Amino acid sequence: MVGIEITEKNDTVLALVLRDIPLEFANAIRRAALEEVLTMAIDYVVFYDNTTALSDEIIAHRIAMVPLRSDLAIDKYRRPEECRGSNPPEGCYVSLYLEAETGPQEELVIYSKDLKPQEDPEVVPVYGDIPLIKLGPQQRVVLEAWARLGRGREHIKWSPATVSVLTYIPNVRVITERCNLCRLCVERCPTKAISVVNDRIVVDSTKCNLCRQCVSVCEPEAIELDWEKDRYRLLIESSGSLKPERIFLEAVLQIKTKLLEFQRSFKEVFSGVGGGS
Amino acid sequence: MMSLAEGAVSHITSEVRWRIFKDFLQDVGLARHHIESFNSFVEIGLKDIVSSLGVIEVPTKEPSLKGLVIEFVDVSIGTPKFYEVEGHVVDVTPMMARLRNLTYSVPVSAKVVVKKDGNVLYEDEVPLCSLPVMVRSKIDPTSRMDRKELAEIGEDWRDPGGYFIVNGSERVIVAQEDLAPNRVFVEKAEMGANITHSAKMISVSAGLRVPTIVDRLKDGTLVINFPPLLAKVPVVIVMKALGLTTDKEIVYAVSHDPEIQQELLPSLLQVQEIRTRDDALDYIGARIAAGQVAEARRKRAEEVLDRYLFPHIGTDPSPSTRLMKALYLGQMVCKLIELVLGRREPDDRDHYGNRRLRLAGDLLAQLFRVAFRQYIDELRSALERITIRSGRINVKAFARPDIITERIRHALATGNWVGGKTGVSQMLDRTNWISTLSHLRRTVSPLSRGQPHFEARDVHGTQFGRICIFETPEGPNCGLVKNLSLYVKISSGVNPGEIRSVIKKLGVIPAEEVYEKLLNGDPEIVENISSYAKVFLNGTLIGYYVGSSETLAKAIIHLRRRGRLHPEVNVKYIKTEYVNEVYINTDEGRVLRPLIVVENGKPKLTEDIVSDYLSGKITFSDLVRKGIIEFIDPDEEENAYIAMDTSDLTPEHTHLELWPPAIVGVAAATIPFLEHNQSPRNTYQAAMAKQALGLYAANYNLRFDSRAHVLHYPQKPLVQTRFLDVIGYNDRPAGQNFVIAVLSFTGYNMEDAIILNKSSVERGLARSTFFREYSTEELRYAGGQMDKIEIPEPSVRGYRGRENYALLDEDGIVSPETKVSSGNVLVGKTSPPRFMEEYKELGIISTTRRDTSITLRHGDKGVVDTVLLTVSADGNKLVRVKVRDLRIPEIGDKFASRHGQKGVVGLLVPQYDMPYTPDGITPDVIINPHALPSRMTVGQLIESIAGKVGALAGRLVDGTPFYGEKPENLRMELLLRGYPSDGTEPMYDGRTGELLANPVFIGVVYYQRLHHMVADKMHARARGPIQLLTRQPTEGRAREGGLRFGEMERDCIIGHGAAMLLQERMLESSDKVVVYVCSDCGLVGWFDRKRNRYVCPLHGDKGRLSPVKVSYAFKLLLQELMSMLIYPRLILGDKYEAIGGE
Ligand code: SF4
Ligand code: SF4
Repeated sequence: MVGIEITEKNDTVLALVLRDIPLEFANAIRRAALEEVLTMAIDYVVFYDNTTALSDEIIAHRIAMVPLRSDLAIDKYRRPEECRGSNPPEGCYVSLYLEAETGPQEELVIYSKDLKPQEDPEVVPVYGDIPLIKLGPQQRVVLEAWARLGRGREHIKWSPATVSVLTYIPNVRVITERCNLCRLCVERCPTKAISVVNDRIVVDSTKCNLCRQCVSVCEPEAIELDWEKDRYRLLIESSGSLKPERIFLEAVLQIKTKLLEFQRSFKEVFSGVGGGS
Repeated sequence: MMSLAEGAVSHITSEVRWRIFKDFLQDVGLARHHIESFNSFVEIGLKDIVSSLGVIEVPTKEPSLKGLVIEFVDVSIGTPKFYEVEGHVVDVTPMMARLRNLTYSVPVSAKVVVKKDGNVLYEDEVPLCSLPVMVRSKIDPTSRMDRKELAEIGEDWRDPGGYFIVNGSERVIVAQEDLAPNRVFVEKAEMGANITHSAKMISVSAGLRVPTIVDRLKDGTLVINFPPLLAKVPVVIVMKALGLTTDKEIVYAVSHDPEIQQELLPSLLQVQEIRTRDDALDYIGARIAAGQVAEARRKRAEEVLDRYLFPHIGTDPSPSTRLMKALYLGQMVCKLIELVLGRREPDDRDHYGNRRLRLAGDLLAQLFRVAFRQYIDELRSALERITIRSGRINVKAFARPDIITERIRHALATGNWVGGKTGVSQMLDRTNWISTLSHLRRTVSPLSRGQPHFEARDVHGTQFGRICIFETPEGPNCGLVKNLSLYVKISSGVNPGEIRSVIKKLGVIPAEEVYEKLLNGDPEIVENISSYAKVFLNGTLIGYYVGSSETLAKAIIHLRRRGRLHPEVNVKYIKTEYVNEVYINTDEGRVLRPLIVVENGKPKLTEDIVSDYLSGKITFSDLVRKGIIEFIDPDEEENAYIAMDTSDLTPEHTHLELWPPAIVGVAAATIPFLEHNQSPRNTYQAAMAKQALGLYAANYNLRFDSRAHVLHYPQKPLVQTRFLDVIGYNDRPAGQNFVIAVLSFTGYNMEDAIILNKSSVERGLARSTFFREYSTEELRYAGGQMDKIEIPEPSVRGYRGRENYALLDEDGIVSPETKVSSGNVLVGKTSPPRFMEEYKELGIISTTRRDTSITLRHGDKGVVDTVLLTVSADGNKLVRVKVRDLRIPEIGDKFASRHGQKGVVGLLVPQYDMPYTPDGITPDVIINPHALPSRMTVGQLIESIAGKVGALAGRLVDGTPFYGEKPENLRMELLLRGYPSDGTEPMYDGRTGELLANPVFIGVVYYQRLHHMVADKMHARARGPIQLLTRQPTEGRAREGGLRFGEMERDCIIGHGAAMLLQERMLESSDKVVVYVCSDCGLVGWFDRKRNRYVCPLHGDKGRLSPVKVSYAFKLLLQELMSMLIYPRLILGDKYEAIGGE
């Protein structure tokens, strides 16, 4: 049976061990965390004034990179599929506003916290201290930024996870009979997984990352690398827009939705043909 | 031979050497050679030229005014000014000049006195010219400004200067490499010629260059040739013409050595019948002024000898100067005979000691001299035209300062210098910071690039530390265009008078004195002269030293180290069985480099001095003054024995390298771990560093460069070389630190392509903005007509359609932040009709104006960034529009590492498909492993590991050539930080989640985005414009041209026998035309519309015309032949009959 074990969990990181799950499925979750999960990000910027040293395109790009709080927004706003076209329906976009000006002799750094939500106080930058623009004396910038839900597949700014990694769980075996105790593997192992205990090479497989350094130095070929079947470690690191566990759940949900859609269209095709069960 | 105690030099660590070198570099600056050269021109050269040439004897018939002289005595230089058309004068800043297309120049005026018999009658300030100012030179006020002041006037405080601003564009005068003047080079002639050996020299004085050659012919006679002589003249005759009448005098002018004298015998015998000086002059005169009376001939011959033979010695007709010239010629002959006798080797012209760099000041002086002469001539002839009544001549009224101004401005704007040199001034390369610096440090050799000149292109041993061994273009200019090493300082020239008096005190007997005594048979001289050392100053024999050449050379060096001689004085000695000579160089343009002096195996840089230096008690110039560090030219380096490192020192060593990595130039200085690369790769990188996008100048927002790229997020390289800070690369970088994996992955990176991480690109990797400038001026024409910037009416000729003008404001100019695309009008402009007069003659007074609007180039798009409205130098309205375009990396864009590894983007892969490491790192770029083995760019591998260490440790890694961090240590550090020491990491395939079978080499490498972008190049056409003349499709992307179906493609189709395809390509889709050919005369006829029938040019209506399908270019050919009075006949036959046969 599929099993999950949490090895690490905090506001930004979630580390799991997935048990009895095929690689294809585990990797689908990993990828879905990056490309499928919906998040809020700024997609459209209207400039009313910009006399800064940076051009509109650069500022717009910088603002788009700011992660926005999305946990509530996911359910509140329309999905990107519904927001296409030049005239999107209500409930697609939400705006943030930025206005700043400097006097003579004044310099000012604008941070992400200066992006003020207009309609929805829940869609705000996650981190307030991301520097966006530096204004020199007598410069002004006024803009309205429109955010919507999107997926990482469209643009990476909509990806809630910065890191999403699926790794094997190693199983390192030392064939003691062949080992001549040259200790080269101990020296070369970057993760310090190998040690010598009572004149025997002992490997702590939990530390190993399968880098093969020990194998390449071991002349008598006393080390064999292997990994466990259908057990994987999954590590998700959040950009802040969603909690990591939410990313995981949403990823699974997205896969499920896709499969359901797939099922539905499959059924449609069959009912069209006249078959069906 | 490790006799030295280690402790003696342990204080000279690489840190100390670097500190000293760094101070030197900051002291000297990267464009300093240009600035210093210009400064000395402005301070000394200008005044010298004006006062030496600025003398006019006033032409007057009034006897009381005879002897009236106008003299230019002093020069004064103002501050940068511009004279507006309205009449008022404004101060200009460099930025103002760039924006308004002005010339950044200062008014120069001269103090002029009118004298009679030495009494000054009248004094006046007369304008001389408006002299372009070298930016950051002494006469440029910006050289005295601090960072803040510079920012206020829109300057980049880091800008090195060293260029001029002419008509708004920045022009550099590129250093011209030349053979050292006034020195004799002997060489063996080629086999088969009538000449066996020859001695050549170029005498240069006051802008005049006279190449002079002495040849030894097969029969042993010697002949001389220099330009005014139309044919070779025996040397003995020239000697006689110079006043050495007896054979003895001639022979002793050459040498005292009987064996050498013997060699002169054939020459002497050959011209036995010419005895006196007059005879000799007659002989020469007959060749240059044939057909004139004897008296005039002789006078002409004398004049030629005085003015054009060795003008560097003097041009006055005094006997002493002539004697000196004869002695110089004697030495030339002596050197030649020594070569003949095998006493010395032929000279090596490619020895860098025999090369001089001519810099901005020198070249400007040459130009100014010519211009000033013209100015004076013009002034003189203006005075001739008027009647002068008193000494109060209003010189100002006759002076024409525009002569000099225009001449200099024109030369700088076009690069055509006096003397027929072209490309002397070039548009400053502003691609990025390195390209600018490198352009300012470039040298050009005048050799033609058509010929091979293999020796001249090769790296010469003496170029070590002077010319960057990597930075040279590939192809025709290889080895001819060079770049200065960071080590270099260029001598600005010392007055040789100083050294003359010093060596006199050292016991050098003047050459004339020795010659005199030799002739008189002074026993002491005759006895000992063979042991004396010849002393040459800048190539001219000035005397003999009683003793060994080495002793004198050492004495001079000693004096220099004690500060008694200028540090730029260099001396070389040669001591062989036959040759005993000392050469002292004080001239300008020698390429010097600093070295640490070593005496008795111990560097003079002692521990105390080092600690004083490090604590700031003494500076670099103090080290030079105390003779601890000295500047050596390639000649003196021949006598030096230089230790590369302190550990190499032995008692024989004379010098220690200051900082060996400095043998590279600015572009190669960007390469970390350069010593690990195969050398051509470094050359490639040196070329590519100049194409990388970055921050080319901090004031880019204010500038209007015709095209410019700016990288959005330039980064300092994680792997540094120590030079980067000093040359300013870290403040104006051109690249980003990429995570690089070496992996085939999808195969979309074969043949040097690279796979980019699409998500990285979306996050802003290697993004840049492209700026292009469009400008137009409201010109005024004769007859009161003028251009008008407006929205053109639909009635104007060449109207482009309403929608293309839609973006214009009512003033006829687009407003900023407007999106524009190809064909959109940026500035609407109408001009008066062309050929006004002709229209009038035809009776149609056309008033339709033409549309001369400025449109966005074909294929471009973007957003209007800035619009500048100003007034040009001529007082016309000037509109400049800057259009920017965001350039996100896409497939086909070019990238390169700093190791000559370039490639284009082959695929963009999103992050979730990219391979990842267990830490979750996805590479930004995946390069193919095949890029590495054959190129052997090991430096890149080390950089990758070093970059990874830097990224992990949060520090910059030092990759200075030879002195960088050791790769072993870096690998160890990597291991300690939990990564495999060989730079590999296990990686998983992002598409499947599977572990890749082998660990992947992954690290951080600094990558440059090069300015070759797909967006600028991609082009296709189905139909489009054709050329007016040939009716064939136009060529080139900018003209929406077709893609050439060339000769080889044609051959290919022929080879396949695809005749119809061939006809379709070459005719139907190109310039097909149907002409009517008369089958009687074979000429092309035409259609007469009135009579509605075809007409033959010969048979008129009676011609039998048939339609023939030909290429329009062929029709043109027929007509061209006819214009040459050739009658081309086309013989017609039936198409089907011809095929059917019989
Ligand atoms: S490298 Fe191989 S042989 Fe040497 S200690 Fe390790 S396991 Fe044993
Ligand atoms: S594979 Fe690498 S991490 Fe694992 S035990 Fe071997 S050396 Fe250590």
